[in-house]
Amino acid sequence: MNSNYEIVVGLEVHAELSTETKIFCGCKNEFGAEVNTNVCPVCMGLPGTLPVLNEQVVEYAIKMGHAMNCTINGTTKHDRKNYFYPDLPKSYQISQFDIPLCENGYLDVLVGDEVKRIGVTRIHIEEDAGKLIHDDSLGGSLADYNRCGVPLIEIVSEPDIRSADEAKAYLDTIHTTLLYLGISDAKMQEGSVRCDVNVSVRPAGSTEFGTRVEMKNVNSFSAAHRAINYEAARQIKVLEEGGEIVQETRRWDDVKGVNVLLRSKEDAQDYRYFPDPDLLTFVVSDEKIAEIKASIPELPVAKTMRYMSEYKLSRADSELLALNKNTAAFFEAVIATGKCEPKSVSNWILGDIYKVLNERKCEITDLALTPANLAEMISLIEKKTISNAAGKTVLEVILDENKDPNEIVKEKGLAQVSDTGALNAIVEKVLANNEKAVTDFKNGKTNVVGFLVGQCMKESKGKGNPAMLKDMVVAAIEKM
Amino acid sequence: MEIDIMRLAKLAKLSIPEDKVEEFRKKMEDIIQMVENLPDLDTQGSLVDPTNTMELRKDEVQPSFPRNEMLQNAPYTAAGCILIPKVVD
Repeated sequence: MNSNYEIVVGLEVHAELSTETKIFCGCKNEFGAEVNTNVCPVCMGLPGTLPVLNEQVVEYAIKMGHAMNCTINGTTKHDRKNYFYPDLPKSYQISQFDIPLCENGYLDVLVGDEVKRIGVTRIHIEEDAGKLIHDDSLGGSLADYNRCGVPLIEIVSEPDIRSADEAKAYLDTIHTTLLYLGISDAKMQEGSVRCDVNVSVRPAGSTEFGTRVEMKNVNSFSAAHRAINYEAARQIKVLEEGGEIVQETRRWDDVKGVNVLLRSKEDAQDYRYFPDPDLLTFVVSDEKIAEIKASIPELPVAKTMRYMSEYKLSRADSELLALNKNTAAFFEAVIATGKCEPKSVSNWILGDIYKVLNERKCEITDLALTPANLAEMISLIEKKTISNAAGKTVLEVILDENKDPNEIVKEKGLAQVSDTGALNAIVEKVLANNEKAVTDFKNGKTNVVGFLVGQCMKESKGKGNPAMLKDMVVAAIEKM
Repeated sequence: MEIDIMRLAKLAKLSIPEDKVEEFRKKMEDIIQMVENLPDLDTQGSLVDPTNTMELRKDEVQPSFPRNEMLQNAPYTAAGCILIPKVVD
């Protein structure tokens, strides 16, 4: 990217809320149902029907508002956003215009090792539109209105984002936050989270914003990253060639990696917002707002920072642990036993256990593994009762069976041999069988000690105490 | 009041023949004049009214409408959907 320019990005994120029912009627809010089966006169916009707001939508949206440090407007209303498109049977979308439920917040995100604060202009609630299926064989489009009236929150950021990486970090943080709060299933592939991207560029050091271009059809966070870099490069090229950026909407084509003009400023939509006369003012009490605030758990970025400072874990490990709500809770439960070091717990979870989760494509909570058993197993290693290798054997059992690691150690005879007499015999045998390695060691190739200890471990069937064996191997050779 | 009838037509996705523009402009003017004549409502600068609020609904599923009945409202249907002219935008 040309360093004479700075990229300025603002994002509008739409997230479907995982309520049982739609926002203004009792139809099921469900993905993947048979077409046009979750519809009724209200969400079809038939004349004479009245929308009634779902209280769960309000609560979920306020949760997100708190998580993004917003001011909550307890007294607010709905407005109609008017546009003609066949996915919208009423020809208007019930949304919020001048008094969004939440506004003036911010989100701290981690970009590399830096914390970056991104302003959140507003979060409002609105209804989703239906889906059009284009079918050339029928010479028309098929309209499925199941999604009409599915509750959405729209999160609008300030133009505080300065690179595609920052945009990606912001989107990832929103994604994990939605999952942490349990207010959206946040499945990108099902379109539960979608985003519109606004990009402008300006000469480095300038304080004035350039003309912005809006991009539609950005269907994944990695697509957002690509789309931003593409659009910024396009704008810089236009400026470098003496051209001018015009305000317009462009459509991102992720397969081709390009965007094309969708509509120019002259054709910009005029939504003619006005207060929806079908819906009265609604009030959420200060007590209720405070109660919802108290229910917000510690969020991923805060957790990551805490793991780094409190447990001295690396940024990467902290983030991996914090990213998934279940993994984080499990990690914290193991630490809470006070039996083992956070660093070893982190290594076991992100190492052997993660491997299993990836292989089985499941969550840590799907395993029979309990925090108590993992803590006990790790503490046995830390107390040198068992070797690391024996720990892996114990783990294999406790992954799928709630069994005391001490019992497994006994049954399988895994207890580490720290008896000097027994170990000495092993060391002598191994040294006698590996004369070449012994000579190499004497000639200064001290790294063969690892090989020799490995042979001793093998000889002890994994039960020898490797630290003791190492010392004994070195001592024995030096005595020779 | 100046009315740009062609712009309104565009927003409403209506096509108005050239020779009808003047007629529609006049009619639209009459409608707006009628609305202008309504007494002003004192909204005290805000359209929210905390003295007249709505009850919210519990998040409980109610039966939806039978699809075959719903589709009877549509002129054309196919594969359980309403069939509409091809839209590209």
